[in-house]
Amino acid sequence: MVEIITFVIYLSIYIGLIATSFYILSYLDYSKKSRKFFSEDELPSVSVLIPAYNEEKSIASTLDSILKVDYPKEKLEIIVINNNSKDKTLEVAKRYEKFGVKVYTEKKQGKGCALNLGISKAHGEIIFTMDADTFAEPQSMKNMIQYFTNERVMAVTPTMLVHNPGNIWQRIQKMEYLLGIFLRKAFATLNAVYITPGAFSAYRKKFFDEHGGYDEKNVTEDIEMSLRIQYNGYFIDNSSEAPVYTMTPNTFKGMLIQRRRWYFGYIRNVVKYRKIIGKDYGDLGLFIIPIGILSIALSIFVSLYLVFDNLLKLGNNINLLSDLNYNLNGFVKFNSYFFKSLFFNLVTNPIFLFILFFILIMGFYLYWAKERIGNKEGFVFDLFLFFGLFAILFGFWWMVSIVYSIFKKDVKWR
Amino acid sequence: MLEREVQSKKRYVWAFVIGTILFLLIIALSYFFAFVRFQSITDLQTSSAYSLFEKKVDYTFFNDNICSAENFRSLTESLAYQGQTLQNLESKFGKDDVGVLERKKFYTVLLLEHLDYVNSYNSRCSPKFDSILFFYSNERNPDDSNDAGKVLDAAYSLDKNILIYSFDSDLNSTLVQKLKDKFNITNVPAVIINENKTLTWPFSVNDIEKYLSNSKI
Repeated sequence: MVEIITFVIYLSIYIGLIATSFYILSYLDYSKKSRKFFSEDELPSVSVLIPAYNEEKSIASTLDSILKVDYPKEKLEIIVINNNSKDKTLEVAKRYEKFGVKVYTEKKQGKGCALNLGISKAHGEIIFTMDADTFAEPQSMKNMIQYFTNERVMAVTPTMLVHNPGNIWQRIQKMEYLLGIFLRKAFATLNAVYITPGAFSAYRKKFFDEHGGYDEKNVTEDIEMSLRIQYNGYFIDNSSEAPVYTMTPNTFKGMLIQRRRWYFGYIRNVVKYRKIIGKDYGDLGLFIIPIGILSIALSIFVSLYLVFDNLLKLGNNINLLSDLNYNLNGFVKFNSYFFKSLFFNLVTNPIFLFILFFILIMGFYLYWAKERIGNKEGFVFDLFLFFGLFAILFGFWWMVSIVYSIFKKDVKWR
Repeated sequence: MLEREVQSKKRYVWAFVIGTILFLLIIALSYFFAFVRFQSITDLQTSSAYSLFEKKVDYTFFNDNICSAENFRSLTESLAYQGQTLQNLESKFGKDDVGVLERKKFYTVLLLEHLDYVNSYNSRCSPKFDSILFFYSNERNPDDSNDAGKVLDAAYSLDKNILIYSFDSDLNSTLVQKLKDKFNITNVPAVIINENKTLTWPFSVNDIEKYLSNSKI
């Protein structure tokens, strides 16, 4: 079993090295290309759809942020769709009607239902979907719009960031989102973005007119929509110059509920659009999605092994404690050779060196992202939190999601 | 559905080449560090051997006073570190690596020389040191050997007058074979306390302490 796990670990590392090289090469090739831009007059009309369910605490700030965007006001339409909120969401939204915000109510429960109502009411050529706990920088919308100069682009994603990260759970997510900035850009260079964040994304309305609105029964209607766009041969681009901040769960349970829904939805939607996998869909079908699936499978295998192996070792060590007279000095030798021994044990282990290498690469991704968004606060400490805890959390979330998928359990929003 | 193509086949080839080079480079780097470690152990063994032989010559040839206990702690910890390092190098380079095998054999000689010196000390000085000869195996039952090592480390932490000598029972060495024959070692892990009492696994810290010279049990 030890030989199998060692082989799996080295295989994961080897695949990771090839994938990392591929993403960086793709980004470097892309950065040499020139782009077209809309002039001020050419900017298309835009509708911003904000579905809201019990968001009384944040919807005002969301509307404030969108009203401040740097975009011609005569080409901007803002629509709030109240989805049976039981708090004061509707009341707060209605206060913004005097600023031109349109407020509708959708009685059928579900974000997909609310968005579809918004699409039916929207007049803009480009539709932004925005969560009611998300805040956009003034320049973000215009920067995202510029990617629609390519007629084949049907959706554009922003630079997603965490709004005011407080405790360790939010700080871990902050680093995860930062890491995603480079990778999403690298995927965009390959026309291989397959997830458009539900918190804030832009779509060409023409796509909804031709291919229908959101799947109202899907718990991750945003993933379904993005895979549908890719399935029909269109592109999804990314603007790394469009910072958008969203509120994230601040408890372990909150994170688990969210991730379970995301990953469950990912599994269901990838199965639905499994025909994307293959050479007919270019780099997305040939490399990005297969590597993603393989990486997840390998991570889960390794995580499961490490958890069980360490539990067994812990059990053995607990049994051994009585033989040691409950003296923990049997487990660690603190003497003059401790640090030398530890250093050499680590550097002669290739797996440790590979981990160091990947940490360096992630550090580069994060540095690149930080330079883009200009925020240097709490970088080093959050980096250690992320490296220490994220891999374990990631494996755990996926295991839970797979169990839910296999046993066809229902996954709800909240 | 609109046609899509791979952007660049050459990029896949380059990614494969770069990924493979990085993979092999990092593996090579770990071997480089292992080689550096091997060199450092060689130097450490040379220095330990010199230190030990110098003390023996001081005592046997120049009639210096042998009763100077501080020689033992640092040399003992150095020998323990060498043993641990040689184990790690063996798992890195393989048990048939000639360089590691020679170092392990030399290490066995050092241990026995040290034991002989301690016996001379015990016959003339006090407090006396207790010796524990520890026979382990990484091939037959590594987990039991690992656990037995932890018991010995715990015993040592409670009583610094214990000196532990660890022998790889699978080492192709006439000295180790002679030791096994002398103490009739058939099952490992096993310990011989003060060259007198044999315990085979499982044993606890209490079991060991019963047979020490300064036993509180």
